[in-house]
Amino acid sequence: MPITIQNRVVVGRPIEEVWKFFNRVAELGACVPSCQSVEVLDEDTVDVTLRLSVGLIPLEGRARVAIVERVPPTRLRASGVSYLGDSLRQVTAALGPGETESTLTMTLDLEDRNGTETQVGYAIEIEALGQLKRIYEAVIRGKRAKLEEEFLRNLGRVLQAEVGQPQGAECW
Amino acid sequence: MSRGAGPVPDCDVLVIGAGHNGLILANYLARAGLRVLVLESRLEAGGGLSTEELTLPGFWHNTHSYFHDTINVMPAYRDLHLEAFNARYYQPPVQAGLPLADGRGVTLHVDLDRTCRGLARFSPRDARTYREIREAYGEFMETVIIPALYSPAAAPSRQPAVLEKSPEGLEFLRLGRMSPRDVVDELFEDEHIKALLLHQLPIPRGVVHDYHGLGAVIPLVISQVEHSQLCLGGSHVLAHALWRALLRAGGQVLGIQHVERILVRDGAAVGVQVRGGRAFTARAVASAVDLQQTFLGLIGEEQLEEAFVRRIRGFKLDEFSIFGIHLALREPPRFRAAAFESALDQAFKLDVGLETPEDYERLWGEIRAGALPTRLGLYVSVPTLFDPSQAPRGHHTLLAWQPAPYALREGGAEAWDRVKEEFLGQCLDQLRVYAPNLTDQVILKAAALSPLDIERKLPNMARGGVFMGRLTQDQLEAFRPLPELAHCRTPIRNLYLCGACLHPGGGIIGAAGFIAAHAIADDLGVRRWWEG
Repeated sequence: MPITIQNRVVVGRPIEEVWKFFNRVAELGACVPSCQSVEVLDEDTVDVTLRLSVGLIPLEGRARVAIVERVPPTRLRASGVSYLGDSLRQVTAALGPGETESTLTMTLDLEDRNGTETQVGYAIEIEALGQLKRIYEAVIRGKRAKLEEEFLRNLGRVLQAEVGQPQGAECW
Repeated sequence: MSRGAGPVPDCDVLVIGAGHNGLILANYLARAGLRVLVLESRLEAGGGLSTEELTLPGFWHNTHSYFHDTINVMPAYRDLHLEAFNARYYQPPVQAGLPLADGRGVTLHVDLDRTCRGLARFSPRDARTYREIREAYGEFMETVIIPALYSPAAAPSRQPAVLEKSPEGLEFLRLGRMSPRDVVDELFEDEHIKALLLHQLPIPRGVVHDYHGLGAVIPLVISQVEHSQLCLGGSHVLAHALWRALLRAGGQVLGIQHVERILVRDGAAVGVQVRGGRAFTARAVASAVDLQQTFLGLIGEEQLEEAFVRRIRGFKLDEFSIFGIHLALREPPRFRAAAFESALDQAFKLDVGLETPEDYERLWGEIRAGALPTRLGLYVSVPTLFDPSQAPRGHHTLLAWQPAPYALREGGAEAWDRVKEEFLGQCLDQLRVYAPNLTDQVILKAAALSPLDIERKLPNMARGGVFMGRLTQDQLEAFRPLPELAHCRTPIRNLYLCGACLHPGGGIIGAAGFIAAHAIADDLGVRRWWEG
């Protein structure tokens, strides 16, 4: 069962501008929590380097995220896979499909607010798979608040706008 | 697995051995809708979860396991609702203590600040280091290492691949390559603090202080994410809860069914035959008994490839066993060192005798030479301090484990019958150095279980080894018990392993059976209901 972080915030940008930013796949990739760097593969796909500190110890991984749905200017969905450790390209080449360790889905629903602000509803769904499932789940559940905080910080940086407080935290 | 046109098997899954791993596996599969039958050679289920009136009526002695770590994170405890079946636990706030012969003492508490205050009396620097280690590694232990216990063993390269990218990760890998002795020597200056930390390794972890590649156990001990807890009513209550849960889930347990043979047909396990000749058939057979008994005893060498037989024979059994002492007491022990550190009289796990790392070197030197230990170091607990139900009102039980060799240099294992009573007396003398109130008047009765007694009672614990295989680097994780067996499946189709010879090893942590449930559920095409 996936772990979902779901909430909504108001950002200080008009909906058209928010939509434009999110359609730049590099910016979208940069919103992924624990993102360290982004490599654009094509107009819809990025490879993201992840780094998440668990106590003193940073865990590094890779994710490949692609935009899979666009309903301009109100809905955008991206999904991807991630893996702890070395290069995703090497890993996916070696293991083949079905061997990833977690899937990631990010859904953004946008709603105009007075022409100057936008309510961004976000749902980040992470499902751990495979042998390391239990470890993934423990890390993600333990870091849930931090991951959400990072997502919002990244969002503000990408949009270059003030991001309000989350309005209705839900996580399961 | 193909059903073919043959007769319907007696059950879907037959589990050999009703120790806690076998019972946990059986529970998960029964709740998945499979017909599960557990066969146990003894009358009582539970294996090492044994609580008996060993000395006098009303005095309940936990003869093999008395504390259970990771109950708070054990999937089976939650998934099987074992608390509802009366398996309830208590975590003593004073987790461990070391009384010293010079009258001082030091303790480890659930409360970090309290621990550090006590450590600082010996070394302010070590108290700071202890706190720093806890803060540096605690989250990693809780979030990564503990869940890893309940996951199939990862490929050997995974941990280095994940950690080697950062200086902090590399440092953790470096610690991991060291021995626990090397780690405590590097991190701490006080010999007694080192000794108390090393004490947490042999029992329940089966790790000896000089096992290279196991240095990471020290930050694990310090992080205290494995909360040692006492099963109220005695360890056997956990076995009883598992048994009742299994019956509720529609499973069956039959006692006094000594499996003599695993039946193999066309390269696949099809059931077992028990003493007396009765056969039980199954779609799958899971063995919770030890590795050599499973393959060399129950399968038979003639059905296995020679190279595989050699590898099975090469699996190293435990390096040490335990001489167990059980006392019925008129009053609890009162440690002389409690005048210095009052918490000692309330400590859950006590180190009596191993005061410095050198003491461990001497003791294990004697064990490895097959000598009857003279450097005594007892693992002591008084369960009734926390659970008065285990003795008549106002009275107490005490258990003490002395690490010891299985086979004595003079006379082999059988010599234990001859030396048992005298050795018991020596151990009691050692105890009285630290707790002089344990006079003959206070000790109402004493009983001892030697390493040979352990093997006689629980043949699964070959050579009196309670961990079912040495916990050295070559026999851990993806290599336990052998690389080709590390994921529960075996060269015999439909035969699985599910006992402590698998990752993560011995101790009452309920992991091997849980992990095996994943493999068997997948192979039999049933949903892993516990994953939601």
